[in-house]
Amino acid sequence: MLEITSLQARVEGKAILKGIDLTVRPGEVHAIMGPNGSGKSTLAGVLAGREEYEVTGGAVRYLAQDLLELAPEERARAGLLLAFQYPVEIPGVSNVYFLKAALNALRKHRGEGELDAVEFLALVRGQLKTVQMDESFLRRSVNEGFSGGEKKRNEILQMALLEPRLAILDETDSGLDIDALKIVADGVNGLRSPERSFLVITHYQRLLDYIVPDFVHVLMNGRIVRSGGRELALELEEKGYGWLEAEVTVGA
Amino acid sequence: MPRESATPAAIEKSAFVPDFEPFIAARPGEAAAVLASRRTAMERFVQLGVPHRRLENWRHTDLSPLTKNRFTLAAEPTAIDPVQLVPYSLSGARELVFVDGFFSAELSNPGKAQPGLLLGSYAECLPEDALRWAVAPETAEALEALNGAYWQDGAFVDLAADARVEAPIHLLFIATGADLPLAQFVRNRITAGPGSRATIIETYASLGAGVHFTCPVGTVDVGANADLDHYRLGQENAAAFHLATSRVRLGRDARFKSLAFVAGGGLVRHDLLAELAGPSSEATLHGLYLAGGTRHIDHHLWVRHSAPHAASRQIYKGILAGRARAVFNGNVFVASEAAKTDAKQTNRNLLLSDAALVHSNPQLEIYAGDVRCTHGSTVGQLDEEALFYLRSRGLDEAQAKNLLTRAFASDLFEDIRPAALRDRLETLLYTWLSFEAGIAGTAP
Ligand SMILES: Nc1ncnc2c1ncn2[C@@H]1O[C@H](COP(=O)(O)OP(=O)(O)OP(=O)(O)O)[C@@H](O)[C@H]1O
Ligand SMILES: [Mg+2]
Repeated sequence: MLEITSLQARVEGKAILKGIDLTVRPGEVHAIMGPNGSGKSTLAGVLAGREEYEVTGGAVRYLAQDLLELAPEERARAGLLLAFQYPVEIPGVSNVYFLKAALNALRKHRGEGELDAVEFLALVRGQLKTVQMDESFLRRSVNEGFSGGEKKRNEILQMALLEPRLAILDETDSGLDIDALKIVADGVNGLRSPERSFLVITHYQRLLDYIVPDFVHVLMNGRIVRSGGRELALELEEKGYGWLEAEVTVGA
Repeated sequence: MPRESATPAAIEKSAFVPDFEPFIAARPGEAAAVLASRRTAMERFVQLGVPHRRLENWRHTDLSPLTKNRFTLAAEPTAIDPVQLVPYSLSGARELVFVDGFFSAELSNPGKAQPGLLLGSYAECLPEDALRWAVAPETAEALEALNGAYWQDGAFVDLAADARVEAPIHLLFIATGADLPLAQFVRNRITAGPGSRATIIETYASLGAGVHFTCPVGTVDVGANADLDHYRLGQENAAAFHLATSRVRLGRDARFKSLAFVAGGGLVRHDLLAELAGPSSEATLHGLYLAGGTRHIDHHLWVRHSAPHAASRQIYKGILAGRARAVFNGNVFVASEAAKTDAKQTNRNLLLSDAALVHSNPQLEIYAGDVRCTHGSTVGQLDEEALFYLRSRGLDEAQAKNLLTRAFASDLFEDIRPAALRDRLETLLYTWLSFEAGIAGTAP
């Protein structure tokens, strides 16, 4: 599904990703953990096609395509979805219009008919229930004035609607209360299937109690310094990142 | 003076002047008083000449392309096929149609007579009104004077006290825009008597792509407690000169709400002078200008608070593409007797191209104490983060830009009352973005 090989990227002349190798097969859930500023969001951004990141080396294959060649919208249409760490507020664009435009852009690409307003409303109403969002969120401007948790649920709503092949969740659990965390986890688990993969960026082992990952990776200073099963997350919870840092320095 | 040998300054001075005597000679039936007022106006215009860039208020707008043309007045109403009006006419409205400056009774549909409503051709309703200037001819601006000399016709709308007109009144000014450059000097007078209420829409459009010159002067009197919604829609062709002056006066507790929507014209200038003359009056002046290619759009607003407790709200927004130019000059003057004035002025501009340029200059002049006045102006581009967010959800770049641009203007659409008009303006914006600004989107 996704194959990242020695990926390097920089922002404003500063090297952030310094050689990432990661392979995600269909149906797998990979968790990425790591200290602040280690490059997790940068990796997510490079995969989603953010232009301010300059890829300086390496390759990314996604579903037999060169991912880095594709425009952000082409990646989305190919089934990649990034749930933003900081979802963007868009005053003046109603959420319902935005969601419908997004879904129809994908449906058009897949050769399915576009949904009209009535069909779309019927569909989105059902999805709203699963993320426990009120219908009033449809009429409001995209993310404008949403609380932190509401923004994250809106991201999960988009994931549920757009049914991506590969979903990258960048700290979707941060700032959520325990009920909202379960809603997010249920949203992900409800979509888990043998064809669908997830890359879950998180700081908290707690999320991984709900979304059980197949693999856990630790990203530090632009490199994956350790990979393991879910028990690695528990170990990090207990010991922090310090011990890995020591190991890396020794190993380097 | 022969044009060829004149200095540039003299050309500015002499433009439009030599045509005056022949014009007068061709109007033998006109009342002496009207002819006299035309002469007074011409004298004023000769004094001032065509505005030039050395004048502070014309620094950014160059009218020399105007004076390079030789315009004539249509001798008689140009016959047009009513089918050509379909894109501009507004269903459900009381409609007056003017073609190249002439009122056309055949094309108009003023609707059922209503007590308290006078609606018709300015020239027919009240020719002696030409003597009643909104300003004394001696203090008129150059373009007002030019219009005062040459005016042919326009709309006359008079609402008696407490008259309520439900259907919008649509004044449709059509320029045929054929090969021969025509000028039309439109003179509109709108009077809303005390306690009256109406919605008035002015549309300026051209049928052909030829050069033409539209020079409207409008006077709007909003009486005590009257409530007037006014929309002004410009969709003339890219070769058109449109130089307009509107003077609005609000009485006690009067309410005036306007939207200037400019989606056309090659060189456009609109001076809107609004005086809040009555205590507790309220003026809401909105504007949205769209300029692509090499179009030039200039708005000068002069808001004068001369009575206490009055409120004015200006929000003008511009969207620019290509190598377009826009000028916004907002002037709020608060006289010493206008205590408790509440004035707010905002000008926001969105540049869709690096080559587009805006001159924005909001100004406050305050002589009263205890007032609340704010102003602000911005010039910016589309939010890159929002753009990426939309693209990351599958919208292509043009579609995302189209959507964000419409969002930029969306608050100005919320207040548009006649649904048919709101739909039309939304479509106009969408079409402009798709075809003139090159960002095709998904229909609203
Ligand atoms: N647009 C940018 N301009 C300048 N520096 C940037 C930019 N984006 C990221 N960086 C820098 O790159 C580094 C990695 O940032 P990134 O957001 O990827 O970290 P992260 O692992 O997601 O951190 P966190 O856990 O705090 O979200 C940081 O030092 C950050 O300041
Ligand atoms: Mg991050």
